[in-house]
Amino acid sequence: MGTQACVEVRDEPAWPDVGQLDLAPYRGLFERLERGEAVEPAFSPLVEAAVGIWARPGFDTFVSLSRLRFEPFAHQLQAAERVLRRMRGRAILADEVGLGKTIEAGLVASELRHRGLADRVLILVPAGLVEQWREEMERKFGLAVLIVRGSDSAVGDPALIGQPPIVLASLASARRDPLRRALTGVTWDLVIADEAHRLKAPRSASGRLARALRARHLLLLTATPVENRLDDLFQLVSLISPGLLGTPSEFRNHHRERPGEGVAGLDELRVRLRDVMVRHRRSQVDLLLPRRLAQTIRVEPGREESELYAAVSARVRAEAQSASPAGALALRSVQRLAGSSPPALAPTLAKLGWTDLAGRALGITRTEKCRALVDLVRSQTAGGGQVIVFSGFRQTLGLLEQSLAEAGIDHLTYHGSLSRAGKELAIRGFEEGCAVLLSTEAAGEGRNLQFCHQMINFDLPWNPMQIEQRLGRLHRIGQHHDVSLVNLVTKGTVEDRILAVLEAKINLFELVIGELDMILGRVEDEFDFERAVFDAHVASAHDGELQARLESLGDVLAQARSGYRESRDRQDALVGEIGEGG
Amino acid sequence: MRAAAVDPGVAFWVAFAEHEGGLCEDGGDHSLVLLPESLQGQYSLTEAVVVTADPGVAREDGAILLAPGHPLLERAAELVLGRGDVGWAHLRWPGRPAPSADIMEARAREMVEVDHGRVDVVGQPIAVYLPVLSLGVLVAYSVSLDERLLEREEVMVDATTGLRLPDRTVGALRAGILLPGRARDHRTLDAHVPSALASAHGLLGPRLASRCQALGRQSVRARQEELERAAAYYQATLSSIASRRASANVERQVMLDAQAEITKMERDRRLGEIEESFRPTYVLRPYRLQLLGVPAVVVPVDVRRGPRRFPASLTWVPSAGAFAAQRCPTCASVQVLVAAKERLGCRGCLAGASPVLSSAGEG
Repeated sequence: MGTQACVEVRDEPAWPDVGQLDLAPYRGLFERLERGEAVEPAFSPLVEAAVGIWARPGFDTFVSLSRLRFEPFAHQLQAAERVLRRMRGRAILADEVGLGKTIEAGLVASELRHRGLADRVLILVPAGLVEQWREEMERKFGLAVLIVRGSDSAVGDPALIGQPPIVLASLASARRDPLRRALTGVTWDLVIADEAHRLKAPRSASGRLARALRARHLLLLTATPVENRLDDLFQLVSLISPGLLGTPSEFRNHHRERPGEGVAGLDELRVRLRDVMVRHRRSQVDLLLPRRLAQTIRVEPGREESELYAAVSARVRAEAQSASPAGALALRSVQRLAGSSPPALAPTLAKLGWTDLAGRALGITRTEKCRALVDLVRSQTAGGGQVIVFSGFRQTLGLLEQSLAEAGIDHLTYHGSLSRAGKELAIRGFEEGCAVLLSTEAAGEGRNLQFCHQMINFDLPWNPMQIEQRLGRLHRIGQHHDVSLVNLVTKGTVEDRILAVLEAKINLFELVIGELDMILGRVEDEFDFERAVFDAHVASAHDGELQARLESLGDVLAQARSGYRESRDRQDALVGEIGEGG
Repeated sequence: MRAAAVDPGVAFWVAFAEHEGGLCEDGGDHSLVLLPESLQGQYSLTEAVVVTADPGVAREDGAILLAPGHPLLERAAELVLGRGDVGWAHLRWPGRPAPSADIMEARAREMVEVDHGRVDVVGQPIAVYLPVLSLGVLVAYSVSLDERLLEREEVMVDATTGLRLPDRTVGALRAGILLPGRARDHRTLDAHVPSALASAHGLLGPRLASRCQALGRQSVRARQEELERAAAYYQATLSSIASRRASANVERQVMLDAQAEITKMERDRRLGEIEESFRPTYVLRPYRLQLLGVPAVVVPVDVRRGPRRFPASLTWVPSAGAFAAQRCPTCASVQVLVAAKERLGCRGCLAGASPVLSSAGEG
């Protein structure tokens, strides 16, 4: 009929022949309609919701989006869609650092899970990233995670089938029995391997593990698919799609690399990589973060503080010579606590039986760093600003609470021992305008704290990744201001020296998000910076020697950074951006 | 709104429990649900359960993590879909009276195209309900052996004509508040439910076939690879047989020929199986079948051509701001009407008839 009629006008046939309709699928509903049943208004939305729960549309629709607790970037969704549709769940995610390979992998995992295609999921990551992955999967994707270590046998437990959590293991523990046996004895729906360049060597323990795992879908995450030789790339691609690049000898002959001439058949190689690899570069992705403005205030300790610190250091060094591994861990903690706040150290000293030192610590009621903090907080909050003050120790938080209370500064405290409701109250109070949040590392995991853009490290973790993670609570997507970070360190402490080394050798606070992972990961497998610092500390007879050892450690990091940057440039030259058309 | 209910899975399950007689209390990141006995028994749950979508809450508080794929969710969804969304309902007729005959005539002349004819309203517009059949189905596509999808399709048709309502009208109807049962305040136009259902089903067909084709295209590469792998395997086997045959004695040649024959048969069967496994198919599962009374106005009209008058009626749908389309009174197809000398038809059925002369003053 006319163009404005309320049915679409086209050459429609006359009424269809009802006799030709197979009513079977409709019979039940049709009979109820014929009986004159009335629609139940409360039930209609429930049916609508059930359709949402039940439906498993094509991969051109993301069914998991409504359940995400964040907004993914377009390039991340695009990557996940390519992996699911074009690569059928087997891919190398090779974005440059900081673009969200974890998010892309999480989107794929989440999407497969929602469709019932990934009940059994295994994630393998470097030891230092286990907690970070757990947090990302749980907080951002709502996916329950079970961290398994060497002694866990739950992996093979049939009870896990049906509604199992995602199994997360460090590569170091996964490649050793008994966990290795448990992991390779299962057929996984999806395996995700972070820093997957560690799997490239077929004869290494990690490489053998990767080749022994059975997985229908496989995601290899690495910003450096080609570390040294082009063969690295061949090995990774062969894990995803065996035979795609031919046999090893065919590949080598076809893509010979000659000095000065580059790689033969590079264009053809890139075309083939499009079938298995997604790589975005920072320059082509609209992902800008504000600046980080870092400043370090070196506080001159009082005489008593300084003497106590020296005495504790000497005692730690002496005791560490004959300490068991557990004892060494306790001593490391004492040394770190001494750098945080001597008064907060007293109970721990007493527990160790170092009553003389405990008595001296108790005698120091206020430290110079505490005073500096109060001044700093006062100036930062003067115009209505807010600030988060981090400390690694609950004991120190108690001291800070007291200092701020005496100074009349409004504050809230957040730490891991609070109940969930307590944590919620603290975060909400801060959100509603409280000037200061005193917090341990646990603060703001997965929470939006971007409304605040000032933070103070009252003490400094020895592990640079932890420093990065603290900063990452504020310096993240959604932050619209430059983030101000002030590190308070007492002169002459281990923290003072660590910070100097990290700033001088690798410009810690100038790094792009994710680069620190890459640098530390290149030092050596299972490299533990904190332990290396402590070892240097106890092996040094005096501060001068410690300084020299830390300098050497810094040189190793600097070398790792150069290696990483060379490698990054090599990725650009070889694989560039691998996208739909690139 | 419950905080825990932000998650669609938790929201659905909590609503389901409430519908079945349960009581729910929002706890922010979780919900406390008191289940009726029927659900307790059915799901082997205690009277009070705490559900959440937050793994942290589940771990710390021992709440049930209603993650996607959780059996509680799946079973509840299965049960709800099994019952379906069926029955009669209607949208409330607006409080204002039906538009006057003058207004309707102006609209009809503006919006309804009739070749060589002019629409005259010949009686008072009458408030009625236009029956609209709403059909919702889940379509289970099988794209390949390991790729199965389940998508929804919905269609609404005018149950007096079987014609599909355009999306704009469907949107307007969905926004209205449904009242259960048949309307009593005005007459509902006669619905041809089986025919309307056949129409709705027929409208889905091309859509599903086209979707099936599109999904099939996505697995073309996998299909091709598998076919090539299988073909290469059998080719290698046949080559091997051929090379052995070349140096075999007659007796062995016969045996190798038979082996080659069997291999070829196996190859053909296998290639057929691969083709079959990648042939997209679909199965329908209806979950909604409603007959909705939509407020409408029947306008008695004459289509006039000179002195000749052809009585007809138009149906105005206020929520769509348009007239419902009608089938040709002669051939039942949907084309622009034509007022011919002898009868009212359409461009389709009158194409072969005697040419209609157009003259000034007519139509």
